[in-house]
Amino acid sequence: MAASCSRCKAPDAKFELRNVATCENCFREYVDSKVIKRFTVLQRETRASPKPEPRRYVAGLSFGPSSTALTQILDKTAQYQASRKGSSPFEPLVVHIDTDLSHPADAHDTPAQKLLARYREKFPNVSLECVHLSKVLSVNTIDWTTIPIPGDGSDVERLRQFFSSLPSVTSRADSLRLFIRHLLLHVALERSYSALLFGHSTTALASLTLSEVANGRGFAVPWQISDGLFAVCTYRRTADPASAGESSQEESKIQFPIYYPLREILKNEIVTYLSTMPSVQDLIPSPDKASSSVVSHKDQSIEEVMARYFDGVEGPYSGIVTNVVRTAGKLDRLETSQYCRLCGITLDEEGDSTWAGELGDDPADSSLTQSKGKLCYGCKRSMGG
Amino acid sequence: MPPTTCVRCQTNKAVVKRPKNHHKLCRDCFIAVFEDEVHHTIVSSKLFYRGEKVAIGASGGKDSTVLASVLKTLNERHDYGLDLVLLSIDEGIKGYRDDSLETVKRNAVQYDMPLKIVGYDELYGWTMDQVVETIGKKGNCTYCGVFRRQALDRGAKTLEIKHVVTGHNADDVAETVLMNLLRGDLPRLSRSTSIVTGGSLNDVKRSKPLKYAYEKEIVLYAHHKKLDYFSTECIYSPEAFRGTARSLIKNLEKVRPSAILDIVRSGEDMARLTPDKGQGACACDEGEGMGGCGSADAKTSGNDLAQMEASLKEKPTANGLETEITSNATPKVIDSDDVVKLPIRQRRSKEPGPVQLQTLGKCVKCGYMSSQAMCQACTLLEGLNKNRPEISIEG
Ligand SMILES: [Zn+2]
Ligand SMILES: [Zn+2]
Ligand SMILES: [Zn+2]
Ligand SMILES: [Zn+2]
Repeated sequence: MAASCSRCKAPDAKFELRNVATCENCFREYVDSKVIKRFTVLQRETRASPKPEPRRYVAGLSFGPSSTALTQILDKTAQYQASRKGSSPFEPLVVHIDTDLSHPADAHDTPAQKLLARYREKFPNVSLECVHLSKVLSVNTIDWTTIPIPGDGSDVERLRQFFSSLPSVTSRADSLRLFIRHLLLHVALERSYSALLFGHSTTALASLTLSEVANGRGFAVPWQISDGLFAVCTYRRTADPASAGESSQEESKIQFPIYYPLREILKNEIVTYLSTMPSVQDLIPSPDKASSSVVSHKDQSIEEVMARYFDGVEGPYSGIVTNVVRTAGKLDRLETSQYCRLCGITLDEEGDSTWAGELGDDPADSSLTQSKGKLCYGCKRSMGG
Repeated sequence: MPPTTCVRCQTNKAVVKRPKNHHKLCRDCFIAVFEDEVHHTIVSSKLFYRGEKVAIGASGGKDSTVLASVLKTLNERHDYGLDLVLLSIDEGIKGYRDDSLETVKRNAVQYDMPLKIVGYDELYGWTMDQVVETIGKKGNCTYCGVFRRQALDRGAKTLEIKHVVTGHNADDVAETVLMNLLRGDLPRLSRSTSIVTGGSLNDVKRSKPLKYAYEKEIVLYAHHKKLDYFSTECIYSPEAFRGTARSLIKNLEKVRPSAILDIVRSGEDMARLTPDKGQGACACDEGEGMGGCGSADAKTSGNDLAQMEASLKEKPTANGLETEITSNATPKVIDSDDVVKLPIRQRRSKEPGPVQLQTLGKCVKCGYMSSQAMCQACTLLEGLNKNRPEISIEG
């Protein structure tokens, strides 16, 4: 016989939540309230005036469990706010970036669009939109002169060539992640939204932390995983062919809020949460069979190795997962005057010169001298090796 | 497949694919490149001064054997003017050290270096065998670790040597970076990445010239130089944890060979972002990088995830991020490392050299640097000595 719920005393608590028996209702409520609390923090920290102002947020949707849960909670919150008289409007825009480069950017009825249509039916209180990855090429928060994007062909073709020119699966995964981030940021800025939300769970943030470390991006960790304002530079494109090879001018710099509202919820808690809502759970495409079995290391990215590692750690050792995120959050966010022209993180000149001094010049890096002083260590690694 | 020519000399047949960057090299070029890189580390970090007496922590294992061989070579080639001594620790574990000490003795002859072996009995009045008799096998890794940490320094002092070099390699440093992130130990994270630790605080400076060398390359170097080394695991490490950080690092290395150095780089950078700004470069909790107990899998105690999890649960803040995030006041977990101002790690880019020291604490009993009134070793010894009468009754 199952224990009774330690929260509401209902009999037959089906779940265990942070070591105590919990019923379905209380489990859902727990997750909802954790996320809604983060919305409140976001509102408080980004409020420009004491008057109620519309809360217009862009959220990324990958169709995975976490971002689906975020969409569900955004929908619920929007519905609730709309029902309340006098509350400030809550207007979420949920954006899926379609990374499928096998069809043209303007194709209709793509698998992603079809799936998004089902999400639209299920979540009537949020706007949902599909944006093709190739749109990233028109984003001006990346200085495109610093990375090897071929000039000819359609945007989809150029991206495809770029990805296939990268030296490893990890480089591709790393660049793809950055592109998605830039594109979402672009949508938010272009349409005057007030914040960008990601659906990362505690587990995903822990995994992101260690991936960043293993990608040589330790310096970026506090920027990457904390909630708050993030410096965003935009670059002007030089159309003049005479200036080819020169980097673009930095045009402007603004501060934009990026938040992870699911940061206090573990991945397996999100899975349980969704299991209590079969109609939502059914939306999520089942993961590729191939990715769950052991694949050759050659085909894996550092991101995937880390995700697997934390899948193993989370169950019995959830305190460690939480600890990684908390520890990373204690690191200072160091600000310098220069920013990486790909990932947008402040450049670590001191670290670069110390490192160069200790390791000596790697001749293999000489092809990248063009990007010297413009890309961070991690981005140079991704572009070059 | 046709034989590949060495990318460096374009003449000889390549026999080595460098684990670090997959460059294909001939034997001679690999050895030359490996030695040049260690030389560069030594010069750029200004590890030594002319005429300095340096003790090489030697266990007979691959890391310290390669370190001794490379240092001897470079000392002669580049005329460092160093006075090199091999320093070995005998923990007093019957049968365990015999073979490795024999190896070190042969190394001393091969490299024509003086060798000093110091025993736990002479340093602490206890051999590890006696410790285990008293407290049982459980927990003795703590003793072995704490005693070992100080053993090299104490041994160096008996030789009036102020600088000990150890064979910590890039894999060791990367492992420590990940372990300390997993256990949330920022002070230790910032210490573990610096190439020089200690200094005048405890009169003995420690450094790790192989900090940027891949473990796999150390093995290759030993193989191609036909070095005489010994490999074994400490028999007193039943709790030594296998798998976590070490196997994660090995998996990352397979996916992208540069990952090991990239983690070291990240660790160095994050050290500058820790709230105490990278202060605290003491050697008090390094593994030993010289084989034995800490070899390969368990550089420091507490590597076990279950142990770590248990200790996290004891902390009130461990069960959620709420407290950290909803309020701006960070509840500070007081830990001995936080209390004492430890040395500031200088910006090596501008002014290389050993760390400068601020406030220092010394153990009231032995004078070894310590953040507490009495150092860990003396505290453990006190406990042991209380139990001493029981042994004499039994014995
Ligand atoms: Zn309940
Ligand atoms: Zn970057
Ligand atoms: Zn050669
Ligand atoms: Zn003491």
